[in-house]
Amino acid sequence: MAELNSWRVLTESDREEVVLAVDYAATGRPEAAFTDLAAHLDGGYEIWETVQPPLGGETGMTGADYVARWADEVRGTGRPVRAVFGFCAGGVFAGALADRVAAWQPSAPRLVLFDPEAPTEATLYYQFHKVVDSLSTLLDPEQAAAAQQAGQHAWQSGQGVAEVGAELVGIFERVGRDAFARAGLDAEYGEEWVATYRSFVSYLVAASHLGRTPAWATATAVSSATPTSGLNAVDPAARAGAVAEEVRFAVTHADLLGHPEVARTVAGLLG
Amino acid sequence: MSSQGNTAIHSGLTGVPASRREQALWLLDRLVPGSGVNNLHLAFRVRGGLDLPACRQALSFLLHRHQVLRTVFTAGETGLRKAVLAPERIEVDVPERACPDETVHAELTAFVARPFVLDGRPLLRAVCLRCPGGDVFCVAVHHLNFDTVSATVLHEEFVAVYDALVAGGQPPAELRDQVPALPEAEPSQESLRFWRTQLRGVRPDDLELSCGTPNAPNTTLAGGQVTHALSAEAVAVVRRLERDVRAPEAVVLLAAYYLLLHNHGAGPDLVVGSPINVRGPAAARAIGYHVNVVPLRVRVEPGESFRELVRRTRNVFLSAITHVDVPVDNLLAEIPRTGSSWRHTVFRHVFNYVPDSGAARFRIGGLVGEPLAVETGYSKFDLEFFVLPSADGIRVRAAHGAEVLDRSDVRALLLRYEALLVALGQGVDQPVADLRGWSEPDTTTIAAANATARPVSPPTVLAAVAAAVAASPAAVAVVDGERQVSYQRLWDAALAVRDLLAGCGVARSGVAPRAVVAVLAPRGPELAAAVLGVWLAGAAYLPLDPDHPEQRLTHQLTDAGARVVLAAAGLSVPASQERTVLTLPGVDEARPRADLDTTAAHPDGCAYLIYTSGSTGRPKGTLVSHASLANLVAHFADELDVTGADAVLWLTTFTFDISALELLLPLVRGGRLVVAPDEARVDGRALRELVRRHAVGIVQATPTTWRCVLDEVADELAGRRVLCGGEPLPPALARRLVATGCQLRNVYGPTETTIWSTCARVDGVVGERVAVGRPIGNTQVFVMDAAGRDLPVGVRGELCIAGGGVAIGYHDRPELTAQRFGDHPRYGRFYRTGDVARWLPDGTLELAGRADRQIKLRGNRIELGEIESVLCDHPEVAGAAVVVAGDPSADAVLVAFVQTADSAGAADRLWQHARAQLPRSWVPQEFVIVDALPTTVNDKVDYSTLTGLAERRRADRAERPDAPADADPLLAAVLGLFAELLGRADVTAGTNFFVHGGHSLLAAKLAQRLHAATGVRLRLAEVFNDPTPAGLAERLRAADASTPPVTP
Repeated sequence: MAELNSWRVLTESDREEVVLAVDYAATGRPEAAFTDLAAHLDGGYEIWETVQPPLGGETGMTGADYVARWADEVRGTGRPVRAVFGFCAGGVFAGALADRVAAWQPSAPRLVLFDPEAPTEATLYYQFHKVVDSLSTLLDPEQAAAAQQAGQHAWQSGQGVAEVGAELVGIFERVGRDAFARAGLDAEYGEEWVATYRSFVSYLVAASHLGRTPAWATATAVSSATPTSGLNAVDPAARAGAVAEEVRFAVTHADLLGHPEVARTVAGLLG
Repeated sequence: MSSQGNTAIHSGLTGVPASRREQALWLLDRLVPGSGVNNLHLAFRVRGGLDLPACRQALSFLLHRHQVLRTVFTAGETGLRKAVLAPERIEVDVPERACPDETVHAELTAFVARPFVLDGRPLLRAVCLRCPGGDVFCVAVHHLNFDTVSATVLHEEFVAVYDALVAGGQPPAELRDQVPALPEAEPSQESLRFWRTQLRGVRPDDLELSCGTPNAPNTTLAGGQVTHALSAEAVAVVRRLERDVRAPEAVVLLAAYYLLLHNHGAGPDLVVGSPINVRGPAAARAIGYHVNVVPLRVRVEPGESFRELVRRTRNVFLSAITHVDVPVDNLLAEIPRTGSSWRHTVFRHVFNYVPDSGAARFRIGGLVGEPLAVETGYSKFDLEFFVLPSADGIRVRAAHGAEVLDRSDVRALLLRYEALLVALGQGVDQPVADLRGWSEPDTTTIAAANATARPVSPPTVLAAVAAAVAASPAAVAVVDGERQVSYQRLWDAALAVRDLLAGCGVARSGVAPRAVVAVLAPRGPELAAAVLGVWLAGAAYLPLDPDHPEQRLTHQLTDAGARVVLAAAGLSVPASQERTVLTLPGVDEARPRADLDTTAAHPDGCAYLIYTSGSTGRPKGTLVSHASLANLVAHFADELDVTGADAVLWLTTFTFDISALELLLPLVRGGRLVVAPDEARVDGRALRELVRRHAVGIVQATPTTWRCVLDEVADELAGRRVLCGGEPLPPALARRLVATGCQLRNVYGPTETTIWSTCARVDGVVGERVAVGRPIGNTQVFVMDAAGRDLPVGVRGELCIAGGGVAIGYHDRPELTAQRFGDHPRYGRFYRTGDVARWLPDGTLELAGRADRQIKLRGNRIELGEIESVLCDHPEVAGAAVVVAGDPSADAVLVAFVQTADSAGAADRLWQHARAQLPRSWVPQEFVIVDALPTTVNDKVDYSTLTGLAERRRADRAERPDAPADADPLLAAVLGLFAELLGRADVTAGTNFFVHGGHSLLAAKLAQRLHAATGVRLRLAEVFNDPTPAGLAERLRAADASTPPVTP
């Protein structure tokens, strides 16, 4: 098989079919990821997980560009797609990707969305808050508080997702550089770290471009019990019509992809 | 280069992949990003003005003509690719700039050194400098498209085209054809086989020279060059040898180069790179990168003649040029990677014989032109000899890596190269090992340093003390707390001891040829009298420490065969029927006598027998003669200008030989001996009080002691004479001592050459290492290589000491004596210290630590002492000791024990400090914070205890069920980093970094630390994707295996 650039193979299999999983796994988050799901998933599926564009390469990419990058490579391999998974904001891309796949293969792939959500300004601020928080030991308390405040201000400024994202990246670059210098990181690693955040924001902003896609109407949502995550945060009225089917688990958002029960359910959905 | 931006190519997949040798050049670019390390040039000046439009047109014409000059490279994630720009797509401007004559060189250097970006833009730029003294034209080209031969061709064609254009004509017809790039020849299987055989088993590590600064941490490839015209005598020898040994001049000079490298510690299995032009005769004028630096491997056999060495060199050279179609870069993957060196793995020294290199004048556009050489300030190799023969002689331009060799090293190498050639004039049939090849400065510097002969009178310390007694019997000799003991009383007490010993059969005509009397007493007047009394009895003393464990005392008494023990009242002596224990009489009880006969102590007789633990094995006793002791004491009495008015502190425990100097220094000059209690070695306030109260002028202590007391005693040291020795003096400590205003001397010497053998006055600015100075009186020092040859200035080897201080030998250990003591044809009997040292150009010596503290870990030579010295420079560190735990050939790690306040993050700060200053392989894997470093009885750092401690820590960790550290050192290293960065002890191979408190910034730090520890650069995304120790270890292993061996 030719080397993949925009996908990484989580599990290999002799099956021709592949399962695609969309996530920004490379942020260094404590939440379980598709690797955990893959470890528990029976059925011998080959699972591919999205790889983000090389750092810096995401500049100027729209949601459609992201999807095209992933879709084109899958199509180039000629492998049929059994299902498309999406985690969190990845659900938005997963929907768009499933739409693309459905257009070139005879049957539409199964779409399974795990705590899917279309990122908003609040999502961006929440992620910003989390990462600045993780730097609290490296920043002066006033500096950390000022950064959080500036972030909040950006969030509530009434601008669009892209603008808020750009502003948060700006704030982050300033405090982040300070933090990495204090942590004794060489510029090379520090810049890579800052660039990673920039890339993550770009991913979220790009997802917000796409929003929910037609494919969501056919999707199964797998929901955690965390009230602020996925469909739990959606207005109950809208929730009912968001997806075709919703399976809820009494696990936290962070554990959703790591729970064996979830994996069993997913195996059932694929089988 | 205004047009560059227009011609950039942005498609990442343009063209074809670059070849391995092209990739190797790219690697150098990446090694020193933003440098022009691969930039070559063609530059000349004309006497007059250049026609700029003609220059532009000529260059443009040649760019159209030569496809290779239009070749562009693009570095991307998929590697380096190359493509050729169509003639119409390339345009290189020739800007003109006004430039004063005096800045032409700087201007050109900057112009040539400016890096080319491998993003599809042309790899050539040009400039025309308008200068009052004549215009200058310069073209800079990346090595990927160019080489030295190319420069000549481009130059000739440029002149021809320019001439035609200014004459109003067309470029010459023969230059109008387009020249396709000359493809790289495919290496033949036969050649590949040849080189595989040639390079089988090469050990690039062995190429390291013993001079300069090997192991430079991360190179910048900064370089310099030194040019030296060989003397007429040397040139005459070379030209004669050409006939005598029937080899071309280049081969004779290359053979001498091997010898030179070998004389400086490289080899004996040597690989020297030699650039060979690979254009066939049909393409002799092809522009491009058509040079292969072939690895010429020759083993220098010390016993064979130069004639034979030349013969073998010639054979190697001739067979290499018939297999020149294989670039060495193609073979690198097959050569085992050793160490973490950034270097080219097969050779680091290059020999480049460049005939016809004369700077010939030429004519251009009717004007006289002359070539200009631009020094770009880079060197890809540790040393490259450009040998430039001409009708009037031979010049050698030595380009050198500035981080490895400095100018003085290179100048010395050139002078020795010349000396070696001159020495060959004496004959080429003697063994090459006999060709010393020292330069004149080597000989004079070392001879001057060793010209230390001086009379010692009187010939024994005992006689000198007797003279002091005779001169001023009533003067105070010893001050011990409130007690004051006069010279007369001290002498009387010594006589009483002599008589006491006589009663036990120890007398001049003693019971044994060498009677040994053990003395077991605290420092004080009684011990001083005991020493003198033992000598008066014609015996040697054996110092014992009341605080030592009984087992140690018993061993020493038995081993020394001491039948009589003089013990202070109240001290117990291990019981034995074979020993008589005498209680040391009180000094105050002695009755006055008038007996100053000191003839019982003969200069050749033994003054003392002292035990040292040694780094390995059981303690060994060294026998030191009266003459040796007298020499040492006389030297320091003069050096420190000791007078009857002086007070010297007796601080050091008496079982450490240096204590005897403190005891005897005042007594031979009628001065006062001030007894310090043991606590003064650790309690700075107590020391301060003693020094102040008794106006002590001379204080001697080890660095460990000084570090311990300096804070409290510093403001009391101004003007006092301070001796520091027994361990390497860390520069940071030396600076602090100098800052007190004391007269600091760094003293060095092993017990086996009587206390101290060299001495350096330390003042002013203290550099990275504190020299140990020059040999003391009647002492000769030399530095010896493994083959037993004396080494010249700047070359490291084992320090050996000859002269008046050399001990009689080890007591009752004839094999050990024979092993450690030798006979030098010039200096006579000497002692091998086991310390690594080199002569400095000023005739002083610099120590580079114990030979046994220079270790090799995974192919990297590491000096533990230097790591300690760097750690000690950190303001938080009061002391540091670095040891190796584990098997150095397998999974060993460096463990640093650091004396510092255990503040949060101290280990991390030290790690950062260490990695900023040290080569990667030298950075300790573990930092252990301790309140105080354990010391030996002699107040030196106790390394064996620390090594034991480090080993136990490893063993404890290995026993933890979830840490299979022993099985997998890489995993163990990753586990260690997880534990440290996450600040938790429960890390297992499966611990998810991010679930256990890690966040993205900490992950970046993890990646950085992994890079430092393993040399493998993981992207942050990889850490995110595999956030467990097991996963990362796997990635590191995979990355390491797939990395070309030259990757930094």
